[in-house]
Amino acid sequence: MELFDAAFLKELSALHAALLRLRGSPGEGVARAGRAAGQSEFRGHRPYSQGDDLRRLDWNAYGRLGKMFVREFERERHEHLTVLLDCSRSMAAGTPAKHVFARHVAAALGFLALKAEGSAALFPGTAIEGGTRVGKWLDALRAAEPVDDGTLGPRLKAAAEGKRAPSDLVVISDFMEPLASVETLTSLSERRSNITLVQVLSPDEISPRFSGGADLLGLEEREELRLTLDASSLAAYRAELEAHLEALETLCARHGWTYALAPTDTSLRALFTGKLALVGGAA
Amino acid sequence: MTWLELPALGLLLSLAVLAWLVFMQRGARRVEVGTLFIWRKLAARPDARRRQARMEPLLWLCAGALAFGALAAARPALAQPDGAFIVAVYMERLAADGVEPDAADVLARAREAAPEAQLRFYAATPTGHSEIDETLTLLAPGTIAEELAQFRARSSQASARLMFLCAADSNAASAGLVLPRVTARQDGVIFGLSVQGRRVFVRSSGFGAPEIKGAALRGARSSNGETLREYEATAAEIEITAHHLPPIRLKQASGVRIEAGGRWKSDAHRALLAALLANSNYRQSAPGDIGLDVGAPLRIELWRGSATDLAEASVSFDSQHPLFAQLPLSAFDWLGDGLVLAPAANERVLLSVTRDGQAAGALALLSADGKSLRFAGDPFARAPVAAAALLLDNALGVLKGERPSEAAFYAVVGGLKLPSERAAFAAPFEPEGSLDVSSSGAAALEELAPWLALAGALLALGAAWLTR
Repeated sequence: MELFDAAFLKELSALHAALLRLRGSPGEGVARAGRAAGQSEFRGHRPYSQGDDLRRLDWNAYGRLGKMFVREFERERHEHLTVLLDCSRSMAAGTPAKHVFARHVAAALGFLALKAEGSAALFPGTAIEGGTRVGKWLDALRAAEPVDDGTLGPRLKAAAEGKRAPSDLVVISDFMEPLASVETLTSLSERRSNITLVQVLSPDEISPRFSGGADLLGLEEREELRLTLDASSLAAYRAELEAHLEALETLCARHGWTYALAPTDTSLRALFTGKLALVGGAA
Repeated sequence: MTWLELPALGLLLSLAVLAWLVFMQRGARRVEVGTLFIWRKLAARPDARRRQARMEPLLWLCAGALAFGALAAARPALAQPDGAFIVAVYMERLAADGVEPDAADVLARAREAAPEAQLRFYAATPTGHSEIDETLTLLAPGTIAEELAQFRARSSQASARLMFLCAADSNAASAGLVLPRVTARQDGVIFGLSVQGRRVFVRSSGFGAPEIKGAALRGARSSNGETLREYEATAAEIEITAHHLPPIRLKQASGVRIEAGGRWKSDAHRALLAALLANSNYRQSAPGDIGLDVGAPLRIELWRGSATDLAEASVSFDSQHPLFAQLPLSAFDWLGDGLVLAPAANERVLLSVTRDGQAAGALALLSADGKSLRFAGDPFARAPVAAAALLLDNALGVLKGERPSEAAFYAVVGGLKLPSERAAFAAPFEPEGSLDVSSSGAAALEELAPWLALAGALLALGAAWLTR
């Protein structure tokens, strides 16, 4: 079955058009500021606070007023979007499979970025630029099938330890693993990367619908776990899941990351006009 | 033991339900999940881990408790390999030599009474029937009451008891079914035989007469269904053939040799000796086993006293001694010879003389070893012949232990084994008691069911402890 069929491509176009109607085209902003695309637009001053980049101090204002102010700019419209897609075996679960939905989200992110004259890179690949290169972006995503060695942790670590910190990093995963691996991304925050975590879960994962005796086969671990599930144990599962999601959300909030929970039955339009409204080319 | 008990079936059904639940537990469906990350946290929760760890033993304990309960409810009085119940069969003896003439008939009747049962026989002797003797438990021979007591004790594990008795016994009927040992009244069964001299006395049941060779019937009398016949031996060997008995053979016993000498030579003495030889198995021979006034291993000695004035003397004796049994003492002139014996310290005085209140000596003495009987004079010569013959008969009886007149001329060849009087008079009667296997089984259940129930309860307790 084609991952990005005609209907999906039509949906991407419709999504792009809808977002333009909602927020206006990036060209309008550039013309209004009279600046070249990709440059920052000065927005104003704010008092200096500890930890601010000293390079943004307005020394003229300090000389005139004797107080330290920091210059603030509008966010760059044409950003370099990096998508880190979780290709672990756990993403193969769900109906539809989580990796299908994850690649649809990634496709939409890249599509919007490219259409906004930006670039998109599928980590650890190279960046693709230009609105006409959407096909190449989709090809890259087609190849990103779940694999046995696609575990998220090492990939996050590689991204965090890369020489160049991506300006916008979107990690799409189910994040069903210890959060210690996610915390490696804090080094990217320190390097001024905007980080967004999109957590893709299938409805069955959020609320299992089976009960009784079950031999659970973990696709990622390739192991079985025998459990007898009753109402109390399912409630306990949901409690454990909610605790995990809450911990992830708390981690994101602490580091200023954007967090979006994206069940696979969510529509792209709802996702991009909601939790992902300010991410990359969608903004 | 039967499974056709509603409680047992119910518990077995519960066991099946439990087995189904276990099957459902084990036949869990396979569900693919992306990762076990959350599920492992769930399994690692203390309550889930405890539930997981205890599930298997809990199931086994529940299954065990149900199984024991079902076993107990199934009344496992007898755990038979093939599921049949055991009926213990007591067979009272008819024969004396261990070969029961109608054992096959008893076996058939036992099978008829308990057609589905395994029969286990109990008797005091082997029956001679191979099929019965295969399962025979030997009891110590004794009275019917003793044998039945043994039978009850040793057949406590049986489902029921069946007893073939010679006579009805209401006490025995309380333990099971009592059937008559015979189907027709016994008749002509010899249960007593004795020989006195040449006379053979035969006691038998009913009026049936035995066949006898070598003896002639002298008389018979019957009372209460018992007949006593008296035969006179006419040959050296007698053979008696009767119902349920192998032929009884009697042969003339070897005679006692008697030798006469000394002063035992008068006509009166010879007449006495001739009468003795004619009416006993004594024969005159030298050397003899018994000597009349002559040296022999056993001796009767005459004229061994010393002359004494016996005027005004009186005689005293031990009336209980066999020498004086049925003896007309007044027929003897004990003092006429004027002789008395001086007893030694270890000699027994049988007849003594007293004068003026003083012991004047003995008229008859028995030696300490009992082999010599001494008379002071000769009481035989002057006494009437009949009285003298009785005295001689008694005197020889004192030495031999058995009077010649009562000594058997004939002895049974090969020993005598006769049926008991009870067996001889065995007769049919109405069956008593019952062969109620179920109620008998219930009695056995009382022995086992509590233990099984206890085991089941302990297992259930263990299961309850696991679920705490």
